[in-house]
Amino acid sequence: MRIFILSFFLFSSLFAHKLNLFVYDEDSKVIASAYFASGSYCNECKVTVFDDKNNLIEEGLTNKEGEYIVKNPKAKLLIKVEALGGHAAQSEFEVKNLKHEKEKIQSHNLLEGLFAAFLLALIFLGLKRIKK
Amino acid sequence: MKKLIFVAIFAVLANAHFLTFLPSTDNVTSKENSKITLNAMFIHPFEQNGMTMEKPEGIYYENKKAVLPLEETKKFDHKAWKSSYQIKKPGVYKFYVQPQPYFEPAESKYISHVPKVIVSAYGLEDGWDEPIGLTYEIIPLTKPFGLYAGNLFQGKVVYNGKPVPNTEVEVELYNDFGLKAPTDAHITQVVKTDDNGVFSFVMNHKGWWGFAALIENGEKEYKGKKYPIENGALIWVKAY
Repeated sequence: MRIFILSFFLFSSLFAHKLNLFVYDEDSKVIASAYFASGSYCNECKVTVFDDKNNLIEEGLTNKEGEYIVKNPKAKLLIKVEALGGHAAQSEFEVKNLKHEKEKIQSHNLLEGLFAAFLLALIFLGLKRIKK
Repeated sequence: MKKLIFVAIFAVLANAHFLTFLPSTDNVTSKENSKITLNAMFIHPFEQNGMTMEKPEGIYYENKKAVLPLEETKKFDHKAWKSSYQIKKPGVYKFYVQPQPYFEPAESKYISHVPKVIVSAYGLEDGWDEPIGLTYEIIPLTKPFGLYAGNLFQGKVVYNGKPVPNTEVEVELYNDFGLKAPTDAHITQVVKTDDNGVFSFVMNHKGWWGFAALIENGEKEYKGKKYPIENGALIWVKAY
């Protein structure tokens, strides 16, 4: 009976500390937010970030607000968080803005290339005129 | 015969009409169900028939933190309203409807029922027992978004934040299961609040349950005559 009561309290206590992980992107940042059902943050909790092939990309600790900013986001991520006492949670996340960001960078690079080619052409034409 | 017809009409009118306010879910668990649809209708929830609901003053998130868009719809061939809200982050979200007071000639009174629902998003549960701050309100004493059929639901009825003792709380199941009540008396269950404004009810069936604390207070004019206002503090909870 004692064991039963003890396990009941242990179970209740475990549930009260149910850990949740919510991953979202904001201002081109991927943020993993770890919190308990009661609303308190999971601070200094271990975070591990994996790509879609289950390769470890990075790891670190959450801040005081239970947040961890992913430094090297990939298109598909698996993020795990662990708190002391064995509480853990994980979440898969697809970075939708990553493609746009890449596209932005690519188009930016293309514009830079065109501008450089235009400048070169101008210099070339200038030099040609001077020679004449 | 006339008497019989009158009794039959009275029996229909006597059953409680509830301002029914149902969200698409009481638990947001993924982005797929994170856009909540909120349906507001003036109906008899157990008997599954409706009345016209005039355009409400508004459907709100928290205490008018956000005014949600209103769209006219139909429920049981009567005018009803719906809205939606995109939940973006974990939290406990409270929504309510502020209707226009409705004159009920059969009861010679105005009816102003303000229902609320509480939705948990992404596992966060903190704050479900905090009031929105409505004039008439039911504050749940049982976590309202993780209930099973057979659970005891307890709530506290408050008026301007103070407990309302000895008041009736009508309870009805949103009966989309086709259940038949053995007698008319079984359609609307009634419990009363204790000295601390607390009521208790065991939900014996799965589905949405409406709790309506009815408090007569104030008067409003209709065609030159003053009539009392029945103020309803309502909450809708789902038993699984």
